[in-house]
Amino acid sequence: MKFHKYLLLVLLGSCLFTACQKDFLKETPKDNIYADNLLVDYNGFETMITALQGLMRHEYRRVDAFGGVQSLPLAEQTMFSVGADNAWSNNTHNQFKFMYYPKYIDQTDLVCFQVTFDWLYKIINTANMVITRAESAGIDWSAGSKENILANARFYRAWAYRHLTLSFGAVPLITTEITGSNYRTDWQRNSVSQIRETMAEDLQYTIDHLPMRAQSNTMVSGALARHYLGELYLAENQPQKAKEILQPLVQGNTFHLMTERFGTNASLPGNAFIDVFRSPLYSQGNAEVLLAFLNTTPEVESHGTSDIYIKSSWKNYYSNDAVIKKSNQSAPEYKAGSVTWPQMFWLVNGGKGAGRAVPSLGAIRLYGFDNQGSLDDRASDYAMVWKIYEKDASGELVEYLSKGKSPIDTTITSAMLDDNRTTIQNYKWPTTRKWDYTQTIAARGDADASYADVVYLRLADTYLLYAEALYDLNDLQGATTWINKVRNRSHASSITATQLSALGLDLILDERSRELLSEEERRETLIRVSQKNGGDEREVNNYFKRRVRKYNEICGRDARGMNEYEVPVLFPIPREIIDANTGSKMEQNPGYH
Amino acid sequence: MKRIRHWIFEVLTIGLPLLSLPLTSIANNTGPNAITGIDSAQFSTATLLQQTIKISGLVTDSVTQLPLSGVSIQVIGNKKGTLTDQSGAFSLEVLPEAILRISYTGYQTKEVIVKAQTSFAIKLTPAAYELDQVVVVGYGTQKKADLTGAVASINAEDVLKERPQSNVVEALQGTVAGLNINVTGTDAEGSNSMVRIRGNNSITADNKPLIILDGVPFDGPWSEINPEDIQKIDVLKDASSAAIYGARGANGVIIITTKKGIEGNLMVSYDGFVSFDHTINIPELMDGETFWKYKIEALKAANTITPTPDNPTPWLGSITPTEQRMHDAGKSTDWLAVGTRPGFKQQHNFSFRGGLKSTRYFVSFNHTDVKGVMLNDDFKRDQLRLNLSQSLASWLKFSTNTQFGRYDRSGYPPEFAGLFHMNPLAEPYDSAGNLRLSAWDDSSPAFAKNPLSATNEDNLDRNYKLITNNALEVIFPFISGLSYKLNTGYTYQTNVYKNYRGRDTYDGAQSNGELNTSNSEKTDWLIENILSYKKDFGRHKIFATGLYSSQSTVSDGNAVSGKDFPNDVMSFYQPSKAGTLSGTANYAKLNHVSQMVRLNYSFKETYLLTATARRDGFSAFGEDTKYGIFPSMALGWNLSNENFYKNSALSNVLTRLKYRLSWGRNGNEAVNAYVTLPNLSTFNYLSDDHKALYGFYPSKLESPDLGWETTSSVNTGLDFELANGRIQGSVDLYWSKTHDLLLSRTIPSINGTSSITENIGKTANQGYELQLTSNNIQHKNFSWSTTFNLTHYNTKIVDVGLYDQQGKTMDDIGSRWFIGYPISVNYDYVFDGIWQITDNNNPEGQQDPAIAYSIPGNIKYKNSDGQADITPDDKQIIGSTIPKFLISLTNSFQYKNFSFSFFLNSSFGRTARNSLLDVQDVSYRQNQLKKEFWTPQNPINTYPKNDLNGSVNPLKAGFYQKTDFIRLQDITLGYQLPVSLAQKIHMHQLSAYINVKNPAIWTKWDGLDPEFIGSQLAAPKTRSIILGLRITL
Repeated sequence: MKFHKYLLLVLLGSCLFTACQKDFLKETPKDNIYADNLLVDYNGFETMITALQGLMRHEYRRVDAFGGVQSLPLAEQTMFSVGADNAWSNNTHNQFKFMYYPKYIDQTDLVCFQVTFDWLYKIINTANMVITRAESAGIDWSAGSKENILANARFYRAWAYRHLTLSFGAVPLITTEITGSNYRTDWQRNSVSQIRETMAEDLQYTIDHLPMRAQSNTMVSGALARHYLGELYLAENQPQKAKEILQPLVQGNTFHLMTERFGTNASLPGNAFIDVFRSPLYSQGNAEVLLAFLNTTPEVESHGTSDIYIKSSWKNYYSNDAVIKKSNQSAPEYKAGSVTWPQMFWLVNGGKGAGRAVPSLGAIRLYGFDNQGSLDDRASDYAMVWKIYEKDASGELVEYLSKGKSPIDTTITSAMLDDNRTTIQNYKWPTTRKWDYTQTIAARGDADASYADVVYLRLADTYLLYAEALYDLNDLQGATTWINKVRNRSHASSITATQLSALGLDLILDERSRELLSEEERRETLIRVSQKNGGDEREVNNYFKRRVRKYNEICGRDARGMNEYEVPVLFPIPREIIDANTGSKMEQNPGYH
Repeated sequence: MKRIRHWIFEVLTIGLPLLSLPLTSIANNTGPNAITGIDSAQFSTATLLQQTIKISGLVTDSVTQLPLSGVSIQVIGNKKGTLTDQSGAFSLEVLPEAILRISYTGYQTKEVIVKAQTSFAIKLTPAAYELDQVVVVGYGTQKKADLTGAVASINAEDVLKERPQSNVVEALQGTVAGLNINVTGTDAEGSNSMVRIRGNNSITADNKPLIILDGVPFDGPWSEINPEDIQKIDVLKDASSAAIYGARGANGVIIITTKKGIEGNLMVSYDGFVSFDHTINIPELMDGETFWKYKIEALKAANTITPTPDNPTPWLGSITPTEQRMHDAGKSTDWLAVGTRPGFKQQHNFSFRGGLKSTRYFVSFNHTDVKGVMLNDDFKRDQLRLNLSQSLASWLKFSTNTQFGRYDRSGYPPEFAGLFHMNPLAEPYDSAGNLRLSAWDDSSPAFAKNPLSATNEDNLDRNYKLITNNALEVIFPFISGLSYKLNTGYTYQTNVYKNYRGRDTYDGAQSNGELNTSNSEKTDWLIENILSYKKDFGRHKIFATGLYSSQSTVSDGNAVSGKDFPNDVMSFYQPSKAGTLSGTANYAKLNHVSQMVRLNYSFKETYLLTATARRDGFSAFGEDTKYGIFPSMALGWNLSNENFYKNSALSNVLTRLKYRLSWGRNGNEAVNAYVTLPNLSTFNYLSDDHKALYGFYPSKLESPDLGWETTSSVNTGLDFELANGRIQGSVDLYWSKTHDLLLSRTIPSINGTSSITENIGKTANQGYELQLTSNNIQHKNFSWSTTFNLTHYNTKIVDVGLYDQQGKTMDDIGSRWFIGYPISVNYDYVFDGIWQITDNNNPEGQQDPAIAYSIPGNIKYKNSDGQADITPDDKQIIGSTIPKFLISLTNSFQYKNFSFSFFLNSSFGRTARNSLLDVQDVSYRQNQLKKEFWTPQNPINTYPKNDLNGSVNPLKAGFYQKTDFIRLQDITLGYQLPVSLAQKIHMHQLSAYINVKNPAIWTKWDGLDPEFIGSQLAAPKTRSIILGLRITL
């Protein structure tokens, strides 16, 4: 019967479709990973250590690499290094005005402060998740050691707090995992010394549980932890402790300064000092670099690669100079139209620069100490840009000369002296070549990115910290030994204890600048030494402000605030943090309003 | 038997929300003819051999009583038919049991049974006759007179024909008070629009209304709906109407009903148009010469090198060879002109419509081909629709509404912001006519990259989408008034995307070719069990509906990208040749379970009551917060049915009057799947041999208690009619409060992340709407009607979950949320003129010792907090981002066979940042608006001095302007061939029209278009001239 046929159809339909599944509304995501299912064994924890490694390398990436509401073409590292005594920003970007006009640090809502702060707490919270969850029961540690994971995580946490304490001062201290049920909006700032207690414990744990030399210098090692713990003790005015913790590192034979030519650059004209930057890995024979960051072109490895911006930040924007623009005009590739002029230019001049930072005249002057200007490898053509190159019509690489001389010039222009006009943009100013990188594809010749493996921390820095510890302990002779090791490697003359005694800590700071220009987080060093013994980092005659006035012809100009007590040098607690911390009023650093 | 048929009829009309107008209009006729419409079926099958009789009649307008000429009188199921003459009269020979269909453009179609009657006086009701309209209210239909909520209807016949568009959304602008459509940009597809019903209530969650297409939620671009398929659009505005969609109704509901088959002969129709589009309102940018002038001026001012006889103009050193060459040759590139072209649209639509007693069908095919005004911006649509209903038995009916479409979006237009910014002294093409990758020799790719580069990419982007809605209806033969409907929806869409950037593109050249391909699919199924009971008990009418439904949506996709190819020959077919290749895959599933009951009750057709309750469960919410309950209650009172009213003098003027009052609660669930879960983000690194190492870090906090965002609102309104329908209208007032906002609020990033999604905070919205239709003149040969819509709303933030120590609500400055202000605000330093020279001894230095920026020619900021310096505390809320009024006006004229209409749309009271006025700070490496700059000789107070690096605006304040506008948006002139003539050429209907879009705008806004709220650096607005033809055979 038709009726029954249809009735059956309807009943069947309604039965099929109304069948109610019990877990119909339960969610089972398939394309995402969660801490609950990742952090169950050693390998899961290891992936978070990998992320921490990558997050640390962010220091050489663009400030806005994690996003941000505004374009910030600047390496994170320059936030910590430019605007002190040995470098100024050769750019007029509103966001990093404080790097050439220190008084303008007072805009507390600048994105650059916020994203820097966010990034460091990202590291801390990632580390805290590892540290908290590693103690849970039921984790399968059969593939590796829990201590190894903890030592890594604790190192990164301490490292992030190091930046926070040295750049922002007192900040909230968190040591446990934050979740959706315990997050806070009523944070309070903990004192720097309180934070340093935790940092010291963390670094000591790393020293105790990791070998001095890791399998590779791209990983956290005991050496790395020692370096930073030594620095922490110096900051806390405990030179004896600093000496003790640094001694095994500097006196052992695990690491040494590279005094002979080596690595991929060895066969090219150059010197041992610059070879250290061209071949930064252990596997390339480098025994000086404590930590290097890895990188590779996206064509070789698409995962895990993100370009870095350190080269673009420190290399000057030579292609924008009116005189330098006349170079490379007859290069065959440019004539043929296969590359643009900027591409041509940068392909023969060590990769594109954007001139976010250049050495101050004072920093350059320092190489002339003891009349070593022309002898010191660190100021040689291989380590600094004194020459501009071009391809001539026959395709030969030659030095470009304008009216018979190099267009590189350190004459102070009127723009640099005009406090109302902030257009510095001096594109013939020399700069460092430590970060040179030439693109592998001609059409990318003018790209800002670079994909070289790069140096992050070197034994030379440790030597100078050690010298500082000995100096603080009044062992002037001992201190000169370590300073001279650094100097002599670059064929600069030895200094004497008398000289050290006369110049004091300034000499060590000078040497740090000579050796570590563009590597050292200079602002943080100067803040650290200015705060020693309870010093006030805003004091007009402390190392920070006095040296900026003395060595930095831009930042140190009268109008730019380095002779005013009120002008802060610590970064502001980002306004967004204060605004979002609604449960409790978070105090701003002094000098800000 | 007769009784059962009666039920069928009744249940069909109430249970089938999707029934076409002709059928529903039978239901509307309250006279005896309506019911006999079914009785006729008996005759047509039983008595075939009866003799014909001659009938005659007169057709008049029910409102004006004037005769209507050219009205089509057709005998259903028969080819016979005629037209009324000039006096509205007709005569015809028919069988006594014949049914006549009387149809006329602009009027509701009517069917009458001949029976033994030979003389007919037929009154046709204008289609726009509000209170008699049938309204789709979700899971059913109601007469507008019986409505208790705020529901507005758009009859496609009227609106869409007056404003032909390939994308229906633009045609809907200004049609319904309270339905705000902002066209926010121009592209071939017409995809840049924002649709809101009564504004925004949600701060973080999506505010877009729910769209129901033939009973099934539609989630896709409007361009995937064929405008010619649309019969009717109903907009559920208030909470009580939308409450039947519960958790998804808080932003209002738009119900789209497509055309259905009608009993009768096959009607073949063709509708087509061509459109010629060109860009308008293009801001005047600097041309090459002007740019050169100001660039040199700025460079000279910033120059620091002392001129020497050797080098007299050192500032020219920054000029690049291309700029110099272009300038020397007196050339200039108008990038906007280079990146645009005359647009051309064509749309062809064929439809086949007809039916027998038990089978009704509507089949349509649409082909749309749009060449947008942006170079390389194309959109093609091919869409097939089959709407079929089939009675399987006297108590069982099957129906399907199915569409299948192919949507082709291949090809990338130029980067439009790049066109605005590109140096006019740069070149798009080299001497050989090839695209230059870098348009000039700037040393930064950001400035040098040719914005046309993307047009060289090989691109394929196609979507295929099937939407099928199938239903079985059962009319229970034993319980009068009871019916059951099994409604199913299934949507399947798949996208194929392939893109290759060869070495002839900027990016491709940098990576030896770049490949991106992806495939994705989305499936959605819906099962609804709907039980309806409709019965009259004397003067009591009851209509009850119950629903149990479940729905599941799954998206699944994967993508591959590669770089470094040996050559470009194989374009996107060479992933195997990639130097590196990587892939991603994604999956998301959202499930819903719902139950709903609704009761409509009316007494004497005068007192109306609607009550609903809906319970929804949604998978994306927290474990214990998945379910929500959404009740509503509404009352209506047809005052004009009361005797005291009928006896009052008022009833002569205000011929109909109804009062409505409703309250309801709705939800917003617009969050993504897995939003409550704390997933980890990826941050990879490398091993020493430069191979990938995979890393994860926490970037999100879980929100275990996340649940519905709830909006409660009260709506009160009046529907009225003056002078027997000469003026009809409705006015609505509402107050709504949204609480438990789904708020992605800012928290200190000390927590590892700077936001978390929670149910906190409140907003309030209130507004009113007025909708008026006036039949100004109704003469035999000439008519004029006007529709006027006015919308006002004002949303305010009430609470964002922050309280001070006294418990008072506080602003969330970090998130830019301010108590008492709209959800988005313009918050910035306030432009307060230009620093003028006040200290003549120091004409170039600081004028106010307290303010570092006080250099003549610089922007002066308003010191709002009274403190000495300009700090972030001086930022203010500037203007309102919500318009005070949206007003639209449509005028339609009919003269004999000519029709003419024009549509005005307007907005008042909104302020927006005009980014085109931003101070440029990149050393004239980008072009900018042609501006009048401050100079010491021309000390204006409107714009700072010409400057190389933007130091004239150190705090980067924006320029804000009112976006008020009145736009003449559409003018349409149509001509319909007299039916007598049309019939001579064997056509039922033939008409042609010409439509002009955007012929004029009145505004003080300086930018691209005052409606483009997202970007002022987008493709400009277009003006179109459309020629169209409609033929029905």
